[in-house]
Amino acid sequence: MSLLRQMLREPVVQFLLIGAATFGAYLYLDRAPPEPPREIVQVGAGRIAQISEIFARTWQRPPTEEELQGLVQAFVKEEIYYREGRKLGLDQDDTIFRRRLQQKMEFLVEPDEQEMIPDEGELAAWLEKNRQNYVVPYRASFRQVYFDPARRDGEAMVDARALLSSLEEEDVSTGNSGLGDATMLPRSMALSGRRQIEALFGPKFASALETLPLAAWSGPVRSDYGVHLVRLGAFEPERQPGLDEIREIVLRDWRDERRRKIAEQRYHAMKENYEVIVDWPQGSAEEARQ
Amino acid sequence: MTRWLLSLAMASFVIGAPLPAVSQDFQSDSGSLTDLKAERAFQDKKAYSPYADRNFPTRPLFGDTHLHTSFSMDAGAFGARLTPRDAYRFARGEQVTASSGQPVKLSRPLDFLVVADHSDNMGFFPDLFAGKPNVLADPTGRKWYNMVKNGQGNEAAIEIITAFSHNTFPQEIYYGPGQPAYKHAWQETIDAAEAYNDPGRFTAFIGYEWTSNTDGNNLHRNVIFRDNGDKASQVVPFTVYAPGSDNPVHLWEWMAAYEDKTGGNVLAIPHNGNLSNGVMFPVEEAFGKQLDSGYAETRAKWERLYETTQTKGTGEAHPYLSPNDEFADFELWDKGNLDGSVPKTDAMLEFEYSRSALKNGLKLEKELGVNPYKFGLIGSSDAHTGLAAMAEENFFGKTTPQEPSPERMKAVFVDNPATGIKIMDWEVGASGYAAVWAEDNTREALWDAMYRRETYATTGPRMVVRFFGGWDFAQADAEDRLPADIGYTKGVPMGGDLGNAPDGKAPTFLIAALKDPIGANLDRYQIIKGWMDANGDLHEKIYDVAWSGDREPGDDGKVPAVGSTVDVEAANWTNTIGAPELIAVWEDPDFDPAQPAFYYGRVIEIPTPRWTAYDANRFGSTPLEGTRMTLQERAYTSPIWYNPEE
Repeated sequence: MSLLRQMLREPVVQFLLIGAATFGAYLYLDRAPPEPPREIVQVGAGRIAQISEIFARTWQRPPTEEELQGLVQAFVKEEIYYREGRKLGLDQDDTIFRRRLQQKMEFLVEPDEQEMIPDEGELAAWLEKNRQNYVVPYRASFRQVYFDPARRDGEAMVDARALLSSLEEEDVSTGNSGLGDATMLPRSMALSGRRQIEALFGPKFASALETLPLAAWSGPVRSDYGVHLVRLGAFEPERQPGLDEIREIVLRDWRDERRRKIAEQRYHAMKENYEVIVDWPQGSAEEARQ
Repeated sequence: MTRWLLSLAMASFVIGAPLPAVSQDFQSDSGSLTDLKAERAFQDKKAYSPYADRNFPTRPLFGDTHLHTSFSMDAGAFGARLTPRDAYRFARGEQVTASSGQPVKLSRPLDFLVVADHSDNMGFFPDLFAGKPNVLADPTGRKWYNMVKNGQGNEAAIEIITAFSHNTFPQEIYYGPGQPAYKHAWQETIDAAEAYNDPGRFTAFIGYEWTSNTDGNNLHRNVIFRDNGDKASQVVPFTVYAPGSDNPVHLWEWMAAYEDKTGGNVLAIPHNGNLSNGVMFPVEEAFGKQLDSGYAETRAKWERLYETTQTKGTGEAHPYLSPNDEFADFELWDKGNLDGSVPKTDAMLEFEYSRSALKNGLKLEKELGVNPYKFGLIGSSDAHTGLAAMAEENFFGKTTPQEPSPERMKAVFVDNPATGIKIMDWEVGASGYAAVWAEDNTREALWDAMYRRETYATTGPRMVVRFFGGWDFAQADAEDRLPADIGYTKGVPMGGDLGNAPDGKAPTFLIAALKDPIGANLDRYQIIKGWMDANGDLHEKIYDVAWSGDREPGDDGKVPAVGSTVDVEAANWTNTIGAPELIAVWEDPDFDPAQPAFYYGRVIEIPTPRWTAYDANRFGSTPLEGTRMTLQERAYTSPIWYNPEE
């Protein structure tokens, strides 16, 4: 304590203290803010070429000088808003921004072409494993006579059976115009897949066709529209195609699955770097998970 | 909401390099092609075999021309995770997992689909990992590539994104010689359509939505390519933001430029006039410019169809405009514009609904020489889920939060506190699909049928609807076993023109409808006529032409209501009323050959449970007061026009 008092009495020390105070005051008074360096928005030749290219790909012609000026100014404006917005943290907690970045990342981890080439035998194995997805439904050609329940006072079935026996007896093999009731449903169908038949006649009718005899009038068959007599012309049963027949489709599906798997793997690899802590509200974990 | 989303500028990169010129040896002219085909198909001299030369369409093809996936920024922001590939897989009948984690499958496949994501902010991403030579030639590109190969993909990704945001991305990779160095969302959209297009079985169209929405007034259009990826990838979609525009006239210029450059074909389908606050179908001026014959001609050329029903309301008719139409009050969205920022006034309605636009078109044709509103009708979904699931009993909502859940009936879709406009999620409709009378299930055949307007809109069910107009249909034609044969031989199908009126004759129509094979019976088939009298005044009248049962028209000429079998609580109904099929021939009893007119068909089903009833039944949730629980689904055909001889 006495040492400090003794020092303060020293003129040299006093001089230094006064000097320091003066200097400090000077610094304090003179601390007008320095000009901050201005950020640079540089629109380089590459960017201009890009802007120009987008225009050309949109309009099928290059932009005029004036249009290009306008586009560059619009880009500058976007850039400045973008930077100012980020400085304010507007990109934080913005759902659109976050999901967009997720989408971008997902694009980035898309597999490359090498990863999308199946090894020998891989497609055959895929087909074997997913046989049920590649079943070719039956195809059939047929003629049909329609009985409209509304016009036949509940006797559609009876009338159909009656006509069937006469058709059988007379062995009518060509033409059936004038028989049954008028309908928009086609009176005959050339060889068509089950899907087309079902789209017109409904699932009940399409299933019934599988059980009918060939080249003979049969039925009655019910559909959602009414009652039908049917004469199957040709019937190719449902079958399992070989790989050569559907290679392209199998390859597409294999690739889709592979793309999904790789995306999943890459997400998990990324997730490995994180410890995920979820604070479920007390007692509501089960509820929240649902 | 869309406007708000779009106004958020996102950094996006479209990188492209000039593509090698494509030889234009294939010049398609769908107009003359159609004429030729028509001639061949409908020649007068009949072959002995009834099936020879029969290449008119025998079955309507059903699809959705307006589906969004996660590539649409707003859909992605709402949580949609499904990509265009998923959307095509679902539409062709596969089971997929919805963004909300639920398994979902259609009752039966659709025949075609257009993935139409918003062109603005579609998103463009680098395609480094394809290992393209120009990428590998660049030291930075090579470094990133190696990082990815060595399992440091995440670090590389971050460096790449940083490089993008700081504009330090290597120029050499930006512009590879002769090929775009980047895969972007548009290219992936094209690739997905190419992968799933399966001519003859399932058509995956290339398309996009141009989302003009200035001041919240909906002027959106879906653009559909007739072409394959080789042509579509030569261009980038037209945007609203620079270098695009919010003026449809500029979209049409873009379409013309595309066709000129590639020799391809595109058409545009506007939708949701009901949310345009009176600007979808202008009659005086558009974007500050007086309508003229150029506008009318251009619009009529590019916009051959209008999407009259979808999740955000049905826009065929409005009770204010059609007070005598007891079926006009159907799934309306008439509170304001798209974002609810400006309330609706009665004066706007005339310029928003398809029926009034068809009428005004007659008047404009007289003034301008061309009818700008000579459009056919389709329905589509506008779903933002990647799921074209529009059946009442299998409805997966308009956006991902509206996928099935006990809460979805109670949530709010639009809430604009400034105007007090509020639209509840229960008001979203499970509608609709486009039905197209195409000869084949291919891009070309479907597109050509759309171009000739041989289409109809449905609000979801897949009823088969025929509508033929001519001068000589007779009652006996309704008894014929092949109505299509007679229809095409003696008349024109929906979307066509009647031509000159023979002396003393009135237009006759052969109409037929067949219920959806797994759906509800039909209540009635109506013909709606619109015409202009000698004073230039416009009129409309609705005729009941065919109906089920033995109902007699009342004093007002209207067939009484069909009744209802709906059990709302059980979400069930029976086909004990209505008819599975309706066929008739009708002659216009009020025809005046001096008056231009149009006629279109409206087919109405018996009442069935609305999606809200299925929700209440399956989730046990209680609907909010006022929630509609039943509806009468319907189909609207494209019109057939009559123009007096000059």
